[in-house]
Amino acid sequence: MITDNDELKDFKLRPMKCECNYLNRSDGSAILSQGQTVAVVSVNGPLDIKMQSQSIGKATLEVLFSSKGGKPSIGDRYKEHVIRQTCESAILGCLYPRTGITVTIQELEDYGGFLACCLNACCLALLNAGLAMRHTFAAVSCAIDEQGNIQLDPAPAQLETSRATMTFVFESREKSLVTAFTDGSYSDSAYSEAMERCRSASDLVFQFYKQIVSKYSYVIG
Amino acid sequence: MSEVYKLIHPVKFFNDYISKNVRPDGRSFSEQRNIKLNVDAIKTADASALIKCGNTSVICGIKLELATPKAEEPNKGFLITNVELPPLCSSKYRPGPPSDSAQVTSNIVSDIINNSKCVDLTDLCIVPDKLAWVLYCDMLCLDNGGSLVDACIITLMASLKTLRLPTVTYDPETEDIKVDTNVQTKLKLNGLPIATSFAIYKYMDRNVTLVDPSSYEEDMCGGLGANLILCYNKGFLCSSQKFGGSNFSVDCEEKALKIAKERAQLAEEVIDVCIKNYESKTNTV
Amino acid sequence: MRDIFISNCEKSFSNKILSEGYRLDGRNYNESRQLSISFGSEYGSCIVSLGETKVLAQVSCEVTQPKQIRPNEGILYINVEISPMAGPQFEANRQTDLSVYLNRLLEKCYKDSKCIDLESLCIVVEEKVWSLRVDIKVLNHDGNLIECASIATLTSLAHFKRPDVTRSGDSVIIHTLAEKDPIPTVLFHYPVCATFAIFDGDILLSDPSFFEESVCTSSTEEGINSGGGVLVIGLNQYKELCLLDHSGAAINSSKLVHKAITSAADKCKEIVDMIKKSIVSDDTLRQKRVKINFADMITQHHLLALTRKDLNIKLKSYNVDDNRSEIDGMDTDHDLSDPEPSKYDVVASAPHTAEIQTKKESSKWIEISSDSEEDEKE
Repeated sequence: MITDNDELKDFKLRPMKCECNYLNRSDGSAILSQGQTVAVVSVNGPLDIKMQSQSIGKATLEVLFSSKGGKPSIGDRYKEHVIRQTCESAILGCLYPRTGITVTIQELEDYGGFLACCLNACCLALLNAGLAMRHTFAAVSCAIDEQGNIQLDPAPAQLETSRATMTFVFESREKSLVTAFTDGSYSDSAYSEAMERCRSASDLVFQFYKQIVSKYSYVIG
Repeated sequence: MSEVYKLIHPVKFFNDYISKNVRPDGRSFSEQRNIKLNVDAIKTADASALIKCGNTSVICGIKLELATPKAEEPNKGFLITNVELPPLCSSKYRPGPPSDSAQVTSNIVSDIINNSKCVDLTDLCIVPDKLAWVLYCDMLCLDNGGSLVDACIITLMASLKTLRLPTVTYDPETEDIKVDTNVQTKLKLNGLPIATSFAIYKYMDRNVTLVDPSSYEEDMCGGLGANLILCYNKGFLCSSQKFGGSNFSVDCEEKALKIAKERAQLAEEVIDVCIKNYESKTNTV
Repeated sequence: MRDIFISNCEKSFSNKILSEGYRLDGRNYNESRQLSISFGSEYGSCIVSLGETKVLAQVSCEVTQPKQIRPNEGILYINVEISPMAGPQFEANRQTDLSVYLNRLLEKCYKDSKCIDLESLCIVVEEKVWSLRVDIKVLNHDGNLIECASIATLTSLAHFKRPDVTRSGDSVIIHTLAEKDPIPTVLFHYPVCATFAIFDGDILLSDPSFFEESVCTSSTEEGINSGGGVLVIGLNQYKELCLLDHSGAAINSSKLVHKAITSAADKCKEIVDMIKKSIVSDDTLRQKRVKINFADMITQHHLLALTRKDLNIKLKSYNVDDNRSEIDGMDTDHDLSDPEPSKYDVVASAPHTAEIQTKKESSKWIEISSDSEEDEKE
C-alpha cells in the first residue's frame, strides 16, 4: 500500500503574515494571512459577565464567528463549536473564575484552509492578550487528491481536485492531537499518514509563533 | 450514599471507577450499550425509525415532497436533515429557537451523510430542471443519554433503507404530475455510514477512551457531546471529528479506529436484521 | 452594553486643555485622523480605517422579488453589526442603541438620499430585481464610528460590481464573472458623513476620538450636560446637505451649525475624491491582473508583525494507494475482525424490531460504598 520512497521531498506551507495588536481596543488581537486566506481575531477578557453565565470553577469562554456578509448560518455555529472546544482546552480557565473571555473571529478572505487560519490567529490573539495557557496550538490542513497524494496547506485550485480535506490541531508540548475535522471519504492509512504529516508540519507554525513572540518580547525586555 | 459521594466529589467519584477499569454504569471501557431499533414506527411518515441506544432515544421521520431543482444543479434532488433537541430530552436545553448544540449536531449529521455519498442526489431527480424529490429527514431526540450522533445516523439510515419512492409521471406539455403510490421503488443506497462516538478521559498519565459514552461521561470528559466521532462507510472513513476532551496519542487512535470499524459492522447487521424482520412481516400481511 | 466610566479628573483635564486650544492626541480642532482604504479580493469588500477605528464593509447581491409598491426598483439593505471585537464594552448578539442609531443614520444617508439608481437594479418588472445588501462590521471602535462606517459603505457600494444578466423569454441567466464582465452600481451622488464633537457650546472638534466622544456626551458631576454634543453632517461632493443629526445639549447659536456645515463641505469633498481615486487605482491594478487581497494590509516592518515565506519542511514522499476496489477493502476488513468472536448478539425481537445485546452477563459492576471510602480516608 505504501510506496516506499526514501528520498525526502520538500513540503511547503503557504506564506504566513501576521500582525499582533491589530485592534487597539481589544485586550489581544491578531490578523493572520496564510496565502490568500485572511482572518482577524480579537480576545477580550477576563471581564465581568452576567451572574447567570458565571461559573465558579473556571472562566466562561464565549466564541463568536462572524462571516463577511450575509445572514448567520448553521455552518457558523459549527465553526464556533470547533474554535470554542480548541481554545477551551488551551486556556487555563481555572485561573479566572467568575469571569468571561470573549473570542471574536471575523472572516476576511477564504481561499482554502480557512478554519485552520482562524485557529492559528486565535492562538496568536490569545498569546497577545496574555491569558494563561496550558499550551499553544497549531492547525494544519491538508488535502488528498485522486492519486492519493497528500498536499499540505492546499490552495483553492488544489482543493477542487481533492477528494478529502482534513484539518488537525496539535498542542505544543507533546504534539498530541487537540482537534480534528475532515471532509470527504478516505481510508484509515491515508488518515493516519495525513495526521503524521500535519504533525511534523505543525512545527513550522510553532516556530512562527516563537519568532513573533521573541521579536517583541526582546524589545520589551 | 454513592449519590452523595458523587455530588460532593464528582471528579474523585469518576476517577475511582476508572482506576478499577470499569465505568460508572458497569460497562468496560470498550463496551457499547445495547441497541434496540424499530422501523416504521410512525405510520403517517413516509419512512421512520426509532432507536434506543442505552438511554438515548431518537426518532426519525422522513417526509417526501416534490419540488423544482435548483437552477445551478438541475439534475439533483434534495436531502435535508435536521436534528431537534427539545427541552424534554435533557435538562440542558431550553425551549425556543434551536440551541447551539442542536445546530452543531445537525451540521455534523448532514456532513456525514454528504461526505459518505450514501445517497446519490441525482437518483432523487425525476425530470431534470423540472421535478425532483425532497427528502425532509427530521430527527427528534426523545432522551439525550449521550452519543447522540451515533443514534441519529443509525435511525436515519434505517429510515432511508425502508423508504419507498412512489412512481411519478410528468407530462412536459400539460405540466401534469401524476403520483402512483402502488408502484414503489426502493431508494438506492451506496453503503451504510455508521458513526461511533468516544469520550476521552485523562486519568493519571494515560488516556482512557470510552466507547459509546453516556451523557454523564461526556460531561465528565469536558466536551459538549462526544469528544471523538469516527464514521465508517464500506470500510472507508467518511468523517472524523475530535473536539475537546483530553489530547489524543497515536496508539489510542489506532484502537479507536479498530473499535469503530467493528461497531460499524455490528450496527450494519442490526439494521439488516431489523429490515428483514420488517419486510417478512409486511410481506405476509 | 457595559458602561465605560471616565473619571472626573480625566474629564476636567481634557476640558481644560481643549479650552487652551489643544487636543489630547496633538491634533488641531479641524484636523482629522489619517484615513486609509484597503480592498479585498472580491468586488465590494473593503476595510476603512480612520486612525485606529476600523470598519469592514461587504456588499452582496441576490435576485429577489421587488416590493409591491415599487415594482420597478431594486432593494438596498444596510446591516450594521457591532460585535465584542469592536471593544470590550459590547456584548455578543445584542443590538445596542449605538448599532440601531448607526444603522438608521446610514439608511438616511444612502437610502433616503436616493444616491443609488435603484431602477437600474430591476431585471423583470414585478418579478425579479437585484437586492443589494451592505454588511458593516465594526472591527475596532476608537471614536467617530459614523464617519468611518459611512466612508466604508460608500466605498464598498462604489466598488461593487454585480454579475451581468441576460433575459431570454421567461428565464433569466446570471453570468459568472468569468463569462461576462460585471456591471458597476450607478451612483447619482456620493454622500459622506462628517462628525463634530461640540464642547462648551462653541468648540467644534472634527473627527473626535473615542475619549473625546465619551467626554462631550457625558454629564458633569452635577448631572448637567455643559453644552457638549455630537453633530453629524452628511454632504455629497456637490456640497449638498443629505443628513443632519444632533445629539446632546441644545445648540445656542445657529452660527455653530453653519460653521460646521462649511467646514464639513470641504472635508466631504476631499474624502469623496480620495474614495474615487482609490477605486480607480484599484481598478487599474485589477486590470493588470494583480491579485488584491486583505493580506496586503498587514504591515511588514512593524515590531508586532512577522512575515515568513519560506515555510518548508522535508518529509518522506508518500502515496496512499487508496484506489483499491471497495470490495477488496471489505474483504480484508472481514479477515481482520473474524478471529475475535463478537461479544454481542443481534436478535430480531418484536415485530419491526432488532436488538444488539451483550452476549454474556459479564457485568463488572463494582459498588463503591461510602463506608469503604471513609476507611480509606482514615
